[in-house]
Amino acid sequence: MLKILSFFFFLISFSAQALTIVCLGDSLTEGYQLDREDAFPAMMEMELKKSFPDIKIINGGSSGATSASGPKRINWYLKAKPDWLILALGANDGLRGLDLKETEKNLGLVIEKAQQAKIKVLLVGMKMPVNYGEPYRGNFEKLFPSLAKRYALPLVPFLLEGVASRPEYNIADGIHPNVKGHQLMSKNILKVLRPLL
Amino acid sequence: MIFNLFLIKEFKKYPFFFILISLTLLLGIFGIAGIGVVSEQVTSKLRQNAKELLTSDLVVSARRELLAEEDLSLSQIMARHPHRKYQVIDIYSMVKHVRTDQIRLVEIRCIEEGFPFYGHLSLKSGIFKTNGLYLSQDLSDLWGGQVGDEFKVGEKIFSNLGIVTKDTSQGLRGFSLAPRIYLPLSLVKDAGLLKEGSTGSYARHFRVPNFSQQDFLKLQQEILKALPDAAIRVTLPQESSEQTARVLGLLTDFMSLAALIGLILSLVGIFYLYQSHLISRLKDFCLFHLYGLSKKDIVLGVIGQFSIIFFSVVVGMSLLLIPIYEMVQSQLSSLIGMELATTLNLFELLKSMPFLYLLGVTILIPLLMGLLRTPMGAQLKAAKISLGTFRFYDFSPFFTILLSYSVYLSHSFKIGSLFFVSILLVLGVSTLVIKVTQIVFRKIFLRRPLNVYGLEIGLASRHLIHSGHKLTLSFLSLALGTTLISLVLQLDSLIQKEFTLDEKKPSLFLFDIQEEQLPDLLDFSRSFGVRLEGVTPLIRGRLDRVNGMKFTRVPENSTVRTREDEVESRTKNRGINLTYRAGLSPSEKLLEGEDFSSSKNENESLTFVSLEERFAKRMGLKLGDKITFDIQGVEIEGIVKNLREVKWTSFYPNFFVNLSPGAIDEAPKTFLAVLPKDFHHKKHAYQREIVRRFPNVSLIDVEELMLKLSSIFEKARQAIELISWLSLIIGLVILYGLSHDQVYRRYFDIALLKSLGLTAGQIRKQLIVEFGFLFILAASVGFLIGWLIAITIGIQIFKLSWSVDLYRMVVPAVSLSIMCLVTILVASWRAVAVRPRELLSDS
Amino acid sequence: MIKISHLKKSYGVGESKVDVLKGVDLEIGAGETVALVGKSGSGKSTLLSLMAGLDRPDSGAIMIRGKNLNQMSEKELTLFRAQNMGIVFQQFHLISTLTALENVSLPLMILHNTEAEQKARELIDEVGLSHRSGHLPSQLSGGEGQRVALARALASGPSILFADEPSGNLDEETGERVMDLMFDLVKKTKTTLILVTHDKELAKRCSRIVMLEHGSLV
Repeated sequence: MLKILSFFFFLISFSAQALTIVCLGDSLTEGYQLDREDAFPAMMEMELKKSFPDIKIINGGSSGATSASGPKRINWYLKAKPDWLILALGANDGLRGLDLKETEKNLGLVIEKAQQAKIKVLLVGMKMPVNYGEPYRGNFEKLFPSLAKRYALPLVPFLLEGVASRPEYNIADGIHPNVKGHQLMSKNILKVLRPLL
Repeated sequence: MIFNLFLIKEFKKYPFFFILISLTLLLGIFGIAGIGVVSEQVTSKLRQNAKELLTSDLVVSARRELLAEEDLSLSQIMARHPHRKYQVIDIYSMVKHVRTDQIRLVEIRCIEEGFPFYGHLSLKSGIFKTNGLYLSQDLSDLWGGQVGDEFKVGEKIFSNLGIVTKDTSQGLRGFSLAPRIYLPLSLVKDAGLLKEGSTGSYARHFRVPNFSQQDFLKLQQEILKALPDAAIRVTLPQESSEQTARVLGLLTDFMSLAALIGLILSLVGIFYLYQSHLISRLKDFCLFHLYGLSKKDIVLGVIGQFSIIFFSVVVGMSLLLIPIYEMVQSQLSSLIGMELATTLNLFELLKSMPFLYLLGVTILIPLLMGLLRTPMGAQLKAAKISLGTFRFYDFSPFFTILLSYSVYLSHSFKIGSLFFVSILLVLGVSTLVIKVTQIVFRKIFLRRPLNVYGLEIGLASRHLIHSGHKLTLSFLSLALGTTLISLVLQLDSLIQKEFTLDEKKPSLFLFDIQEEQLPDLLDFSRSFGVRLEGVTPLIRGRLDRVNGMKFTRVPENSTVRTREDEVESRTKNRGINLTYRAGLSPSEKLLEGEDFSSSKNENESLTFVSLEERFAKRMGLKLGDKITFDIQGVEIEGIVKNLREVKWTSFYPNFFVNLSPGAIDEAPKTFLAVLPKDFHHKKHAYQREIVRRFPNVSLIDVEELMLKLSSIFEKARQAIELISWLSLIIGLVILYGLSHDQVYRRYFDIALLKSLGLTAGQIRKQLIVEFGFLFILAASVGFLIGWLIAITIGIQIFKLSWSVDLYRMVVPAVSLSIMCLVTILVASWRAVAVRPRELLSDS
Repeated sequence: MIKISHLKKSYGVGESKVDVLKGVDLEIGAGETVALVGKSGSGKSTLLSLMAGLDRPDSGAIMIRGKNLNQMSEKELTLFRAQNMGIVFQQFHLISTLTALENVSLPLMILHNTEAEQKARELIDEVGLSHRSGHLPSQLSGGEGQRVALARALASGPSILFADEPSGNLDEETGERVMDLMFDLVKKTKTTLILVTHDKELAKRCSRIVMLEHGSLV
């Protein structure tokens, strides 16, 4: 009973909107240790509201998530019939040194599912820190442009452009961005997204 | 002239008494010394452990390199003290095993010359040096990497110089993303892995010789002030491991209390002995007074005697104790099963002496006041000489010193004063109990003839009723003694429970299991011959609103937040892991509220929420609160139905927040599971296969973790056990002395009864009834109070969990009572043998 | 009533051995009042203690009412003493936690006398302390205490009353009154009295004076 009810509310809350965007990602998307309002999806929403008053951006970030979680999780959000999917997964795969072929496969699955449902996909690229060494770093970095090319997707070259390795943009652990960092990430994405809307 | 005679002649005349006092003092001081030694031992062992974990005395670390000005500030501070240092940088990297062409994620510990300052790394063969690449054992197992194999790290290739089998700095992390290799910092730099754009843990380690704990604390504060960025941490060994810090704290607190207990017991003994002694000497004192010695001089004389004894004991102990200890140290260590220091720190022992002296003198004050109040002139003519009474307020100097010492010893005003109040409580309750007993007995016995329940009981009861002050005192002493012993035992059992690790722990803890992987994983496990348990969903969510109101947030106005803000925001972190569950897991216990299954007929659309009680407290949540969660973009509202206690040490998948099934079942999730202990023999092989087939699944080797923890706890447990026994022995010795003395006071009464025709057996029976009743009553009161106090101290201060340990409460109480009864028997045997002849005038 | 022959008693061993009684012979008839006098150390208290069965001699015999004390076991001796003798001490004569009445009734209760309390009341009356029967010894004056002790000593109706310096701890006036009482009671009950004292005036009140010097009769 409750399941149906929650889906119903879910559908209502979103289908009435003119523009729905889902951000599917990990801790960078979720806004680790921050309020929802301080994570970049919320910031983007606030910014885009000026031009699109009915816009709704769903924060589908889950800390620790790898690309393997993507295909299942996308099902949850497909039901909301979003217009856009911002795909920001893969960072944790890299950090954990997982097989990049798998990463590529998982991300591909997500993209295909979205495209099948007639959802537009914006791919967000990532880079690994220098200490991860070559050729891994290079291979990781190349993943995203390669996928973008294959599926003809717009690409944000690097989510953490200007944020990574800058103490003022990160919280104490040095890995997760703080509010200022999220502001910058929001800008990085909007640079690519806004012209497309 | 008279004064000197008084002092010195007294010693010769009453050697027995003064020897007894010396022994009692020795016992009390010895107790403190002994406990001090053991506690010093264990805490220094634990500190050593902690130092080895940290590898140095002080570490300045962050997830980034220090900025130039930060580096400068730090250097300026450190330049003031001679020190050695090195850097340790931990980074992750993808490393290739050249021979097999395999690449995997590895944690590189970049070290410098001197690593580690404390602790050691053992190799399979050879000695660890900071000169090249070394593999950790698990990496070598995983890869089959041998000595001489080449590994490509960054841009360079290195040859494996050895396999590290043990690293004392590995600590209790238990879980690392990846196994470790060790490389010199310079080489890692050469390999190009430490350029701009790298992330890792950067630590500067310092070793400062000849620094005390206080010095390090000061240094820590200094550095923290100079480097205010919350990202930078300054760690001392005692903080390096939460477990160690907690154990150390608990241990030292407990030790100090136990030391105090032993001392108080011996002071009770001294009071008692002095009371008897002064009474028996009273006639002579009256004579001295008659000859011109003022009362003040007599009192000073007594204090002088005590001082001489005290200092003799201290000097004697100082001279003899250390050589004796050094002689027996090794045997003692093997007897106890714990390594003790090779020598004693005399200064530590002597530090308490001023307090002990004051305590000794102040406990005599009531007696001395009584002496001052004795009308000595009149006493000589009186038929019976009695010491002037002392008042309760005469004890105030003693209590003041006791309070100060309690606080000093426990390093905590809270603990010290709580302990002190407990002592007062015992005295108060004991007095009450005696008064009530006497009133009750009056009603029962006095109206009736002496022998209505038998002559022995008649005599015994009247003794109990009419004995006034003397009875109160012996009862009090006994009650206090048993209270303290009970306190030690109860605290001991509470603390030991805390330190005993649950036997039923799993072998492995698995997480990050993807939903669609689960069936395959379970199938694989089955075919592997193992069975996974506790398969629990983990769903990521946020706390959005409580009762309609948003959670208050920490305003973020600056990039650099203070450390206090850091902590504050961490605890109000709204991103949490949730699960859905119909009931409780085996390691959970319902504390408040109802479980989900009750009130089923109500509105089914409500989602129930179960919170872990401490989490609820931290978040300011309570029963009945309506919480709105944001589950991956969907809002779910639930009502808090119950609070529960979670035994986190069980390593069973447990969560702060449980929702009732139905609401979030469909949400994106990962799974947790455990590999039960039963399959421990397959653990390693299973682990390897999982890593191979399901590379995204993470594993924690719980057994490894437990092994490390338990070695620390075991040491703590041993120390506590030892202390408890020591206190108990001191207590029993004192109590024996007291009960023995009590019976002997009856000397003439017994002689009289015998002359009247009572047999030795009858007299013995009377004594046993009388003292037996008294002791059992006092022991029961004492034990009950001791138990209550222990629970209070344990829960309020040590934050332990409450439990009734009936065994530990009843068994010592019973054995103590039996011991006292046996004492009476033994003492009475001899006392009862007194001859009525003694009653005659020429004796 | 009492017959003593060749009584010897010494204390200590070896070098510190002291011969307190060096062969004493004595006969005392029923109803007699005998005073044992002598300086301190003469052995009078020792003689008393032996007669009262509180101690055993080294050699010699003590016959009381035809029974030889020496041949009795400890238990028999205790019983014999309880039934036949009463003792008044100089001090420590009352149990401090019992009332006057209870103190007096104690010997009777020891002998399992069912009328102990009644008999005790009678005796307390005799010594004139009925109004103090419920008081504890600490509440009694020296003289009153000694009177209660007297009542107690006579409670079981003994044939012999031993008194060891009974007025020693009392002042002159009180002591005289208590002694008057004692002699009266002894006469009334026809009890044999053995009185140890250093007081010559008191000794003269007895029908016979026996003097001891360095352990022998003079």
